[in-house]
Formats: sequence, structure tokens, C-alpha cells
Amino acid sequence: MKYEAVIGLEIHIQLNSATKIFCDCANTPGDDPNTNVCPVCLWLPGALPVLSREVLEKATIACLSLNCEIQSESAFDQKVYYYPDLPKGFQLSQAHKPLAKKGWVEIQDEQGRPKRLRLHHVHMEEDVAKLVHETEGRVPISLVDFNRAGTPLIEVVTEPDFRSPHDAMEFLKAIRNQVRYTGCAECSMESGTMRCDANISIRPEGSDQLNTKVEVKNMNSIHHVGDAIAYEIKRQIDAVNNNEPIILHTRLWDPEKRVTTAMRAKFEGPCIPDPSVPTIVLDDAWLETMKSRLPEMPAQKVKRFVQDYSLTHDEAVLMSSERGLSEFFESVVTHGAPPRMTAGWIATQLLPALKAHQQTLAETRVTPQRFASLIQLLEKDEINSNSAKSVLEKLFEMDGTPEEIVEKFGFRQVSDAADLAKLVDQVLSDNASAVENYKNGNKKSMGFLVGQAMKASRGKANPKLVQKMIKDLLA
Amino acid sequence: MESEIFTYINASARPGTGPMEDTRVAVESGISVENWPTDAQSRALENYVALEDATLITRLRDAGAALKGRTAMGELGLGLDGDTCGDALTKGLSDVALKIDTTGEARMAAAISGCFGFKPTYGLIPRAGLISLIPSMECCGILSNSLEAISTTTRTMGGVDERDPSMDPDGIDQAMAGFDQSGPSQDDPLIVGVIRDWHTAMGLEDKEFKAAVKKINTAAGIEIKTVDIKDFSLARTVHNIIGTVEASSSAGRFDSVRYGHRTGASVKNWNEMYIHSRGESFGPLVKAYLFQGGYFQYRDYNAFLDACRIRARLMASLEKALESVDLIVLPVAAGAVVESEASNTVSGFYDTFSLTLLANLTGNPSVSIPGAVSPGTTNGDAARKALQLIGPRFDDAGLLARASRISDILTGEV
Repeated sequence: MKYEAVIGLEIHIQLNSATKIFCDCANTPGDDPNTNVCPVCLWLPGALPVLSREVLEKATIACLSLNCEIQSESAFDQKVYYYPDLPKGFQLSQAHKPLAKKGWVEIQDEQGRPKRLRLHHVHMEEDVAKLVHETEGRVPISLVDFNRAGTPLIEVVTEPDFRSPHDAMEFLKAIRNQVRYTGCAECSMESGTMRCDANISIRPEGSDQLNTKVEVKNMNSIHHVGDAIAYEIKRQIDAVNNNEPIILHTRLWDPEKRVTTAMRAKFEGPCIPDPSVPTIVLDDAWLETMKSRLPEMPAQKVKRFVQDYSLTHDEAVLMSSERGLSEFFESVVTHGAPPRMTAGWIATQLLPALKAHQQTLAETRVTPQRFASLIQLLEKDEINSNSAKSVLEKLFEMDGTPEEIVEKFGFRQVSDAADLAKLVDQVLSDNASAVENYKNGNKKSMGFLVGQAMKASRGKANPKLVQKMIKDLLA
Repeated sequence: MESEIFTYINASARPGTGPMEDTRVAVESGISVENWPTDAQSRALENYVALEDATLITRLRDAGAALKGRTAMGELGLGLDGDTCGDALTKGLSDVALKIDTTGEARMAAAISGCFGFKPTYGLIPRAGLISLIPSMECCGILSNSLEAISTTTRTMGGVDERDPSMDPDGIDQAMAGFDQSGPSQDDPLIVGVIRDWHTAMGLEDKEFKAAVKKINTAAGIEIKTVDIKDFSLARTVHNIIGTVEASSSAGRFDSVRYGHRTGASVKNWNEMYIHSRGESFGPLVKAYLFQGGYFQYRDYNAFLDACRIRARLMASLEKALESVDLIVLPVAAGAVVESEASNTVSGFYDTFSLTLLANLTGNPSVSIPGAVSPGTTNGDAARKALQLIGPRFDDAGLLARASRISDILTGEV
């Protein structure tokens, strides 16, 4: 029998608000252990949670970016379980009345066709404390760091619309992109600000039943999510083929061994309404304010880039993939650089160079203005692309305008035929066999000859002019 | 004598200046006072010292009150086992005693010791710093021999607090404004409501209550009117379900890790540590109460949902009744009042508080007026002779003023 997978995801995203969700402690869980704590997030007796406005706003904007319906009434519940990372015995989460329902994101399926994946809801919750297990020494001990306790999360719960690891990975990229755009969260699986659990079951292909699912946790990159799902689908199909039952439980992805291993029975504790955090009532005016704070999202931006800047669809998608990148691109264009050349140079030169220098667009010395000047020099044929690459490298290393750098290091392109005539003659006499080949119809030899001339000019010759001169001489 | 009544005496208690500068206040150990032992009478909080004042304590200090010390209380505010707050008043050691009221504890303690007990509207006095098991019902109750002192204390402690987000700011402003207004006078017409069949549905006696109502009815300008409260007889069950469920959640934080008693038994893992520590910490009533809450949480959540719905109906029904009368009168207790530790069971607890818990469920203010108490009177008799008045939410000032008038009638001072 052929099986298909039914996959749903639960994604936790840590919001980047200044404070925790229910108190004024800093939302910087990486600080020295137990430095960002107070009676509320330590849950000392008598402390009352007070919902942060900023968290509510950021959560709402993130939900809007995922096309969700914001609920006019939502509320917190106590999700009861006992574990040392949750010392008050319940987690405040929105189990019954989430902040947002429905929503969707669009991905491309394996065949490149657009596919819409639906969200079931998005709710807010507090994160729990972090356990640090010290296993060295004679008696293993577990330490609790409360810096993370009470940091704000949204949990995105999808419909079981996913059929393949591809869907899940594309979905994660898409929501990461959307939410990052809003500036409300970092969404990095590697640093733990985005975490994904997958619920996986299988069924005969074409049926619409929902079978017992298995939850898989502990994937800390998008690729791991894909690998873990692929493994788990195969494991379940093998189990069913061997007449082994699928039991509801939780499994951990082991990135070293690349397998999932059983962790525990999946626990569903009770959820009762929290009596202390008031019901959240949102009116239309407030919601409009939040909508007005939503930036232009990638899909709209792609359309506009194609229309306003005549980029191809692929170029526009690339230039819109990150909000910071799109803003950089537009800023360069606003400084007068031609859009398509700018997009090409950002993609093929600037981004790899940033990676090599381990810098981000936000922090690099290569400002939009400097980069725009560079592109303009190239456009006006004042430097050739070889020199432009060298100038770009200098822009990382030193201050000064590209024009100054061109002058200082003599990168200016030689576009005077008289200056180049001697050099071209020399190249033709030094490479008689290539000349012969060209004359015999081997057009590739032209490239070689131009290359030799460029080398002789130490990269400064105008390659178009050189090519024309050689062509004329050999005609 | 002081040491028999106070579990902790504040050696540096001295009055400041302000509207409460002549008032000595006893504070039970479920209300946080910075640097005071704050164990809510439970081993689960053994040696716990509060890091900060409850908001209401800060307000008392600012008003010049002298904080006397800690009175003993029932474990985690549940019931009155070993309670001494009434004694602090009757022995003249304090003028006002504060006691958390989640089921009627403050009003009952007052009735037993022959003084007034007041549970304000839910949320009027900030909850920040209160330690109880039932957050949706907890109020700081106030006991005193003087209704005027209760009024002043309420006014001092009440008002919006940014640490307590569950407060209703509009209602609270209205309630606080009530203390500035002249309020109902002793000659105004007053309509007193009596709940129809309150005793038959619960199988209780109403002989003494009838006599008291008759006495009130003889006073000039007072009319007695029967009101209907839908599902009144279910109030006890509803409180039982919601109260135990909230308690089960609230007690989760008593994990023996960060504070309180931790077991000395040798344990294999943290689950065993929790089980032993909690088993050694909680007394029989709290244990039974938490077990019931766990049952509803894990096994019968629908009962909890039903209880929440009936609670909402009770609130609406009481609010409607209070549109046609100024206040409702009920005994503080009728039938069995459990007096000994041996009968520390959940059903015994609810037998005792079956009539006071309505105001906790609905959030209405309620004040108890003591009956005649002599040295030979048992706690049960004292509670059965005492009356409680329930008024509209956020009209705390009006209710206290009317309580004064009715108290005068009952004691023959009119």
C-alpha cells in the first residue's frame, strides 16, 4: 500500500520585546543566570502577572503578518504540569481563547507551484525556565535559570496541511520571513528564538482519515526539521508494514545519529482560565493602529519592485527576501544607481563579500550611498567590473568615497584607444596561435585575447573597447 | 498573652501620622509584609519572609497605621482552624485585624468573636501580595469592633493599583467616591431583601433568622421584601468546584525548591521530592481540597465549566435582585458549624461556610453583624446568631453605612 504523511507544525517564536510578558524584567535570556528575575517571574507567593502592552502589540503585528484574524476577545489559561522548569505548576498560555485564528502563508510546492498552507491559530504564552544539567561530579545536579522564565512567545499552530518535508521547510522559511519583516522577532532556529515541533502521522494515500500522531521535537535548524520528518515518515511506514502499532508519544530528533528516539508519552494536562490576567478586549481602532504599523510585506514589495524598477520576478524576490536587504536596495537606487545593475551587484558581489567579512547590512561600512556611487562609476564605464570588485573590497577596509578610492589606487578604466593601441599590438604579436585560431573561426580565442590584454593593462583597460580594437585589427 | 495570639510581634510597631494614626492593625500571615514571616500558616511556606509589602500594607503604613504583628490563621487561608485574629480584637491588642476572605473566613471569624467583619467588593482592595488558594474570590477582609474603623481602613487600602491588573478601574473609582459622599442617612427608606426559601433548599433552620428579620422590620422606614436568587442552592457546589480547581493550580508553586519545607527523606528523583515534600507540608483539609481540585481538573473538566456558567448566572441573578432592594440579609451560618480540628473535611468546611460563600462567588461586598455573644456562647451559636448583609458591587460605603443602622436596630439602640 502507498502511504502519505499528514504533518502539522507547532512553532514557538520568541518576541523581541524589551521586557518579559508579565513583568518588567529584561527579555534577554542569555544574560548571566538568574539576573533578570523578580517576584513575578520567580512566581513567589502573592505576585500577580501584569500583561505587557508591548508584547500584546508585537504578538498582534506578527499575527497580522501571517494573515490571521485577530480575536476581539482572548484570554490566558493555566496549562498545568509539574516540572522543575515551571515552578508555579502551570504555564500561562492561551488554550481556549487564542489571540488570533486562521491565517495562511504561501509557499512553492516541489513542482514550483504556489501552495497555501493554513494556520489553525496563533496564541501568546510565557516561556518556562531553563534547566542546566550538570552531570559531571559524583552527584548529578540540575540547575534552574529563570532568565528565560516569562519571556514572551507566540505559538503558531498549523492545520495538518503538510504532506512532505519540503512543505514543512518552505513553510518555516516563509513564516520566518514574514515575522522577521515586522521586526517583532528574530526567528532564528539556530539561536532558539524559533523552535519547531512536528506532529506526524501516516495514512493510505488518498484517504482523509487522521491517524494517531507522533510528536517530534529538538530540531534546531530548518534542515533538521526536514530530515526529522523524512525519518519519522519512513519509521512509521516501516512500523505499519511490520504490523506494529503507532502510539501517541513524543520523540526527540538526534542530529548526530540522524534518527528520532522515543522520549515520553505525550502529556496533555488540563487548562483552566487564569483568574488574574484579565480578558484581553481589542477594539477596531486599536487594531487599525496595529495594521498601520505593519510594514510593506514581501509579496507586495516584489510586485512593486517589478513594476517600479523593472526587476525580473526572481530579482525582486531576492531583493525582498529580508526587510533590511530590501531597504538597502531601495536606498541605493534612491541614490541614483540603476536598479537592475544594483540588484545584480548586491546578489553576486555585496552579499558574498558581507559573508566573507562576517558583517550584516546594518553594521557594514558599505553604506547605500557608497555602494550607489560604486555602481554609478561602473555604469558610466569609469571603472570596469574587475576594478569595481577591487573598489568594493576597499570600501570594506577604509573610509572615503569610491571616486577617491579609484583615484588613489588608479582603478580608473583606460578607455582611450591611443593609450591601448600599443598594448593590443603587443598581445596580438605575443599570441600568434590564438590569432590564427580566431581567424580560422574559433570565436573562443577572442575571449582569451581580451583576457591577455586585460592582464597586460593590470585590469584597467575597458574590455569592450579592447574587444572592438582586436576585432577591427583582425578583420 | 500577646504571644498566644500573635505568631510574630512587630517590636518596632509605632504609629505614623495620617488618617489611621490611632489604629493598631493585626495582619494574618497570608498578607505579605516586607521582612515579616509570611507563611500563610503552612509548612509549604516555612520560614518564608516576604520580599515586599502587599500594596494594601504600603497604603496602611502611609496612612500612619501601626502594624502590630501576625495572627494565626487556617492553613493557606482555608477555614478557621487555630485562627486568632478575632482574639486580637476582643483582647484589646489591636483595633483592626486583616484576614483574607475567600469563602467567608473574615466574616465568620468576626461573628464568632462578636465583632464586625467586612469583605469588600472583589478587586476594590488590591490583591498584590495576598497569598490564598482561590484568586478569583480572594479579598482582604477587615475585622473590627467599629464599623467606622472598617470604613476608614477600606478607604485607606482601596483604589486602583498597577500591580493588580484584575481590578475594574471604573467600578473602583465609583466605590472610592462613595466614601467621600454623605451616603444614606438613618431616616432614608430602606428595602431589605430576604432570599426566598434560602433555608429549605439547603435543609437549614431559619428560626433565629426570622426573629432578627422581624426585629429589623419593626424599625421605622424599613421594608422587608422577598427576592429570588436563581440557583442559590447550587452556590455551595459551585464554590466547591471552582475553589478546589483554582486551589489545585495555585498550590502548584509550593514545590519545596525555592522556599518552604523540603523533605528529609532520601528520594530518587525530583518527582519523589515533590511528592514527599508536599505530603509532609500540607494539612488534611488542604490536601483533601487539592485532591478534589485535581479530580475536576483532570477527570471532570466539564463540571468545572458548568460551575463557571452557574457562577455567572448567580452573579446576574444577585445583581438583578439588588436592583429592587438596597441589600440582602442572610445569617452568617445556619445548621452545622464545624468547630473542631477532627472534622477538618471539605464537606465540614462547606457546612460551616455555606451561606457566606455566595458573596465570594459573585464578588459583592458583604458585612457581618455580630449577634449577642457571652462567654458561654459556642462558636456555632455565635455564627448562627450573626447576620450578614450583601450589597451591590462597588457600593461598599453605602453597605457599611446601612450596616451601622441595622446593627443599631438589632442592639436596640434606635
